[in-house]
This record gives sequence, C-alpha cells and structure tokens, in this order.
Amino acid sequence: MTSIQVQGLTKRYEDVVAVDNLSFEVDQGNVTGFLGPNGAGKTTTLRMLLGLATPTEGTATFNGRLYRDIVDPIHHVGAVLESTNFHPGRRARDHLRVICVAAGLSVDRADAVLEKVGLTDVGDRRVKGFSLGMRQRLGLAGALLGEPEVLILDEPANGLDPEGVHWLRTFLRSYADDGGTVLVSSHLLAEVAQTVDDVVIIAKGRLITESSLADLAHQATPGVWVRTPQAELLRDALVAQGTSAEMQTADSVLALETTTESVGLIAAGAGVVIYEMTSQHFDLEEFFLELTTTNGGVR
Amino acid sequence: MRKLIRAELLKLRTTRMFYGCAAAALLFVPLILAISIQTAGHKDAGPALTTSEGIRNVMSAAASGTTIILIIGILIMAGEFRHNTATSTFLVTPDRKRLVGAKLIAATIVGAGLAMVASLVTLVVAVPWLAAKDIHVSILSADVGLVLLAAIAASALYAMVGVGVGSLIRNQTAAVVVALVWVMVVESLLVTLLPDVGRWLPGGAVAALTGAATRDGGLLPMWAGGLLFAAYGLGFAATGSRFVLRRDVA
Repeated sequence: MTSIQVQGLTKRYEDVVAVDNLSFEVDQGNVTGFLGPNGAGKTTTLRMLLGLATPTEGTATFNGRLYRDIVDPIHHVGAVLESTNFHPGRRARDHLRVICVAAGLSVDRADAVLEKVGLTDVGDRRVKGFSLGMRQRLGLAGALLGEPEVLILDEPANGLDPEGVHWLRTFLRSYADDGGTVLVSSHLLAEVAQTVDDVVIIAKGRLITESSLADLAHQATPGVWVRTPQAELLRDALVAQGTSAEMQTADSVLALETTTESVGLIAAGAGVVIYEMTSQHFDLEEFFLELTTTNGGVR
Repeated sequence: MRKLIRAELLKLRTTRMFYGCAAAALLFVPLILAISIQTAGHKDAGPALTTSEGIRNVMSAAASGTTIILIIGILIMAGEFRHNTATSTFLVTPDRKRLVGAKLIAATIVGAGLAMVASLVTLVVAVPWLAAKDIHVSILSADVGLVLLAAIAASALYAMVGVGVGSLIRNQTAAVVVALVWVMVVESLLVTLLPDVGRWLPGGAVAALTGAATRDGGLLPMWAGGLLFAAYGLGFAATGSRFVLRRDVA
C-alpha cells in the first residue's frame, strides 16, 4: 500500500526547472531514501508535498489527499524541513507547546517528545543557544508531537555527530518497524544505506531510479574488467560459458557477477590474450555518484 | 479556531520581544499624561483643564501606545517570516485564511488588553492629579468614559491593521518601516495636499474614532471612523492571505 504519491510533479521558476515531471511512490511501513546531489530538487519536492510551495504542474499527495486538505495534518504527517525554523528567543519546550495548543494536543506531549529525542535537560533553554544537532532533534521532536503515521525528514543527519546519526538510524528503523512510513532525503547514499528499504534517486529534478535498496545493490553488482585486443572473442566465450558480459570499449570487456579466476580460465580456454584485468568492487556510493552524474549530468 | 487563537497568544507570551513592546506601549501613557496635564491651557498646547476638550485631551493619553501596538500586530504576522517560523506554523495550520483569522483575533485581544491597562494607568495617574488641581472628573462622563472606550477600540483595531500590513508585506523590517513612514509622513502630507481625501485614509479614520485634537473638522463620525479603520485591517489581511501568504515559503 502506498502512502505518498508524486505524479508528474514539476516546479518551474523563471528560467530554472527545479523539479521536472517527477513521479514516484512511497510504500507504507517502509523507510524510503530520497536521494540526489545538492540542487537536485529534493527540498523543492518535499516543500510541494507539504503545501509550502505550489507545483507548476502535477500533484504530490498523501493517500490521494493534498497536505493542505488534511485536517490537523500533524496528527498524520510529521515533517522536519530546516534546522532554522525556530524563534531564537523562545524556549525549546515553549516552541513545542505552541504546536500542541494549535493542534489541540495535550501540552504534556511536549515533555514526552523532548525525552524521546534526548533534549529533556535543555527544554527550558532558549533555542538561540542550540547547536545544529540540537535543532535537528528539536525539529524531530516537533514532528513527533502528533504521533503521525508518516515522517518526512529533509537531510536530518546534517549537523548530527556520529552518535546522533546512529541514534537517528535506530530511531527511524524502530519507527518503521512499528508501521510508520518514512521519507528521508540525503545527498549521501552511504548516510542512509543502513536504514532505508527503498530508494528514490533524482538528479536535475528528474527521476533517475526508483527501486528497493536490494535491487539497487544488485544493479551495482561487482564484475571483472578486462583489457584485451580480442575483446569480442572474449565476450562471446564468456557468454557461451553462461557469464553475462558486455563490451565496454573496442578493446575492453566487463564481465558481471564473476571472479578474476573464472574469467582467467575462460580466457585461457579461448586463447585470448589479456593485457590487464581488474576486479570491480561493490560500491553503492560510487554507483550512486555514477547514476546521478551520468544521467543527470550535474557535474 | 479557538485553539489557533490560544496558540497565537502563547507564541507572544513566550518571547521577550512582546514584553518589551508591551512595556514600551504602556510607558508612553504616564509620560504623555504628565506632559498634557502640565502644559494644558498654555499657549500652543492643549486646551485648558477646566474645559471638556481639556479633559478629553488628557484622557486620550490612554491611546498613546497605538503606534507600538500597530508594530506588535505587524510582528504577529511578519515575524513568522523573520525567523522562518512560518514553515512550522504552516505545517501545523496549512489553511492561510484560518491562520490569519486567528492572528487577527489574537492581535485584537492583545491590543484591547494593553489599552485596558493603559486606560487604568490613565485613571490612576490622572484622576488624583486633576483632583489635586481641584478638577473632579467622573469616569462615567463622556469626556472620560467615552474617550477611554474609544482608546481601547482604536488600540484593538491598530493591532488588527498591523496583522493586515504584516500579511501584505512579509518582510518584517519593511512592513514596520512602511507602516511608520505612512503614519508619520505620507498621510500627513496627503492630508495637507488633499484635505477631502484625508478623512477616508486609515489615519483619518482612526483619528475620527479617538477624537484626536489635531484633526478637527472634516472627520467622519466616530462610529464610521472605527468601522472604516477596521475595514482597512480586514481588507489588508484578506488581500494578504489570498495573494501574499499563498506564495512559496523559503
């Protein structure tokens, strides 16, 4: 069952297309990583989803409903977009109490979420003295007030120390295990790779891929790269032996899901001369970088 | 709506800025009172204390914090964009019209509340002081009661107009500057150049309500001035929530 639907979403500013005909879905009960380089349009997409920006075209909905049309939305959707959206002179607990009052929640919820994010001791301090990491936690506390089914977090790991990142991972995992849906954006795949079930990757406002993390890892599967003057002959020999292989250039071949030993044996059997052979290591982050640069052409 | 109004009032009560503004608005009252009582009857100053106009002039000190109350109104709305708290506020209340409605009502409550305190200060300071000059006034007289009621109404409406201005001009500093320049420069210029237009402008309308001595002649009746001033506030707020607050927030 899907929880968030984005369909043909487009945001055009005067001369820039920030989000370009973007469509994807987020499944209920999963943690979905919303990934792309800086400037890919992630924040703009999330802002449109949350009714803070108006799409030029297309829709972004929660179970078919626009955020603006949900009554008391923070009971259903919790969102943390920036680390700066607090009044610097207001105390952390008061910031949360204001939200409680506006949403018709008991003000006791403020203390409950402060404890959940580990800010109980600083609840009476004014926000201007808070570090970026503390602001991220306070933002998350605000998102959790209404005990929502969906959490939307924009680059939540920014400003968190390693211990904070670990805490966030554990938290998101248990939130999803309890049936919650999470959409978490990041410009680093590695940051979320341990947490997410699915990924939505965008670059230059366009969808690059939408898949489960397992499928992405499969696409980024290791292989063996070979430089040889008899590239076509080697490829045919590999394929004949049941190893998938493809030409990289006129004099190089990439064999997938295999080892250097296996490729070496097949090459010897076919009498192919080898100049160079390297094992391609599995690196999701590199694959991510390749995906977002070659398809999106940002760098 | 009720919870939104309570939330807006809580927002004010949890920042020092509000207390500073409120204190400043109230500090003007004894200051203006002292000046108007001491100078009453002198040449180029207010009318003598023995006249009805003189008493009205003294009592109108209760409305001397209105400019600061206008600024409080602006802060209630434009302040959301100053610290980017608008994001959080709009996430809790996506309906801009409901939000502005709650802010208008909260501002009106705050404006009226401050003016009630200002009226009390006026009475506490002015009545014994005047009595010492052997001038006895009754709170129930039109010269006292009506002037104080008008000051309370004007203050409530000033706060409302402030919210309207803040929703038209999202930049807090710009909104405050525009409002002050309008109040202090533009409107008095327009009144001098086009006297017939003056009564229909916001300043003319509120002057009719408070019976400000500087602008006698040509003003609307008191009730009409109050209604017109309220219409300005609501008009600004409606326009702002329809066209300005719907714009994307950064």
